Formats: sequence, C-alpha cells, structure tokens
Amino acid sequence: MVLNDFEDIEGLRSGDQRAFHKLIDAFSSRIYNLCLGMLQHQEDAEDATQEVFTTVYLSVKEFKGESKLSTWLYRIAVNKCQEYIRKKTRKKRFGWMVSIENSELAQWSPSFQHPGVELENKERASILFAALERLPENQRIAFTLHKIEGLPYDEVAGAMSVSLSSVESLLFRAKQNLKKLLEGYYEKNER
Amino acid sequence: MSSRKDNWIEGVLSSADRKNELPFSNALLDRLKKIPAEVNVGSLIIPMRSVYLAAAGFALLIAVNLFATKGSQQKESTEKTALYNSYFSYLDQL
Repeated sequence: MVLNDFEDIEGLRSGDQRAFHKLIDAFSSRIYNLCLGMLQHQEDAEDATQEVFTTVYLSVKEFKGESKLSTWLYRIAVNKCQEYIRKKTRKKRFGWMVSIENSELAQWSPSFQHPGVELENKERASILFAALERLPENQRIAFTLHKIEGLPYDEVAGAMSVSLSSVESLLFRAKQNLKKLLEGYYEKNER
Repeated sequence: MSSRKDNWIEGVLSSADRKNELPFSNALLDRLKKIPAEVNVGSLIIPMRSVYLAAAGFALLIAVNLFATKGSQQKESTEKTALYNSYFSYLDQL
C-alpha cells in the first residue's frame, strides 16, 4: 500500500461530491497541462480532461491504492490522450487532402504555440512540439511526461505501466531521434 | 558551425523545460464540477424511460401473440370439424 497524495479517497469511493471537487481542485490543472502537452490542441485537451475525470468518478471504486492516486490519474490521462492521438492519426491517414509528402521532414510547419512556454522560447518550443509529433508514440509520451511535464522517472513508469529501465531507454531513444529530426530541420531552415 | 548547430538543437530540446503551469478556463472547471450530477442524472432518467418502453413493447408483443394463437386455434378446430363431418357422412353413406 502506497502512502497516498489525496486524503479523502474514501469520500471519493462513496461518491461524495465534495471529495470529487477537492480532487478537481488538486489535480485538474496538472491533468489539463499534461493533455495539452500531449495533444497540442486546446479544445482536445479540455475534452480529454473532462473524459479523464468522468472515468475517475465512475471507476474510483476500482482504485486499490497500489500506486499513488496521482499516478493512477496520469495513467488514465495517458490512455485517453493515446486514444485521441490514434483517432487523429487515423483521420490523417485516410484524409484525401493530406499527401504523403506532408510527413516528410522538409514539410515541417511548426504550428502549435504552447501558451505555457515563456515568450523567448515560443518559437523553439513550437519546433520541438512539431518534432515530437514525429516520434513513435511511447517515446513521445515518455519525453512529454518527463521533460515537458517534469514528472520523475517512477511516476512516468507508473503512468505508462512500464518499468523504470524501459522509461530510461525510451527517453534515450526519444532524445536521439529528436536530435536527428532537429538536425534535418536545421539544415533546411536555420542554416 | 557544428557547435552552433549543437547549441541550437540543445536550445530547442530544452525550450519547454521552464514551462508555466497553465490555469484553464472557468468553462472547463464548470464542466468538471458538473460531472457527478450529469453521471447520476444519466443513470436515473434514461433507464426509467427505457424500462417503460421495454415494458410496453413486451405487453404489445404478448397481446399480438395471444390474439394470433387464439385465431389460429379457432380456425384449426373449424377445419378439423369440417373434415371429420365429411369423413363420417361418407362412412354413413357406405
């Protein structure tokens, strides 16, 4: 049993609305920011956040307390975001208007401006978010959770349901791949 | 040249490191706080309507079946009586 980071878990389990509101106050901002970082779309992030908390409300009775409540919330959020990303990818793949060339490195168009990034870093961050979209799903999630959302390795492992060594390996490969992608972008655009 | 490129890449990789946690809209906060009410309302109203509709559907189905069975039984017995009558009248003639 893990010492938990939310006091009123029993209240949540019994369907107490005040406990649920406390949970929203404590975690909604973190969950929203995580969804925004992963989905790179404000409305999708809001919808995903709502779905995360609906899932939590409906299934909190199944939470056994084997991990921290925050880790369990992050896991639900990561799963929801993965669903959104897969839906988006399917749409792109079958869309008539999107040509195969658009996936080429040369066609990068960094468009997502994360509102939480400091002004001086906005341009670079939008390039980073565009590069992240081209990473394999697991590498992208690990990088977003650790580097962008600042979660420690153990929480990333819990949220992704993988081991610590897998997280290390995913982050290493994510950085290698990002470097390659950014080198290509630099050669084309910044030189 | 190479170090300029490396610096640029490192800069991009760390550009989102000092990201501020964003507050979200009040509209989203309202949506989140309404979740318990919406989930509970959904589980009370929709099943009641479904229950009434299902009950009415079953009643109608049973009534139609009863009428159909009764009608076919009557028709069958009339046909059987006619058959027996014609058979026995034939025997009487013999």
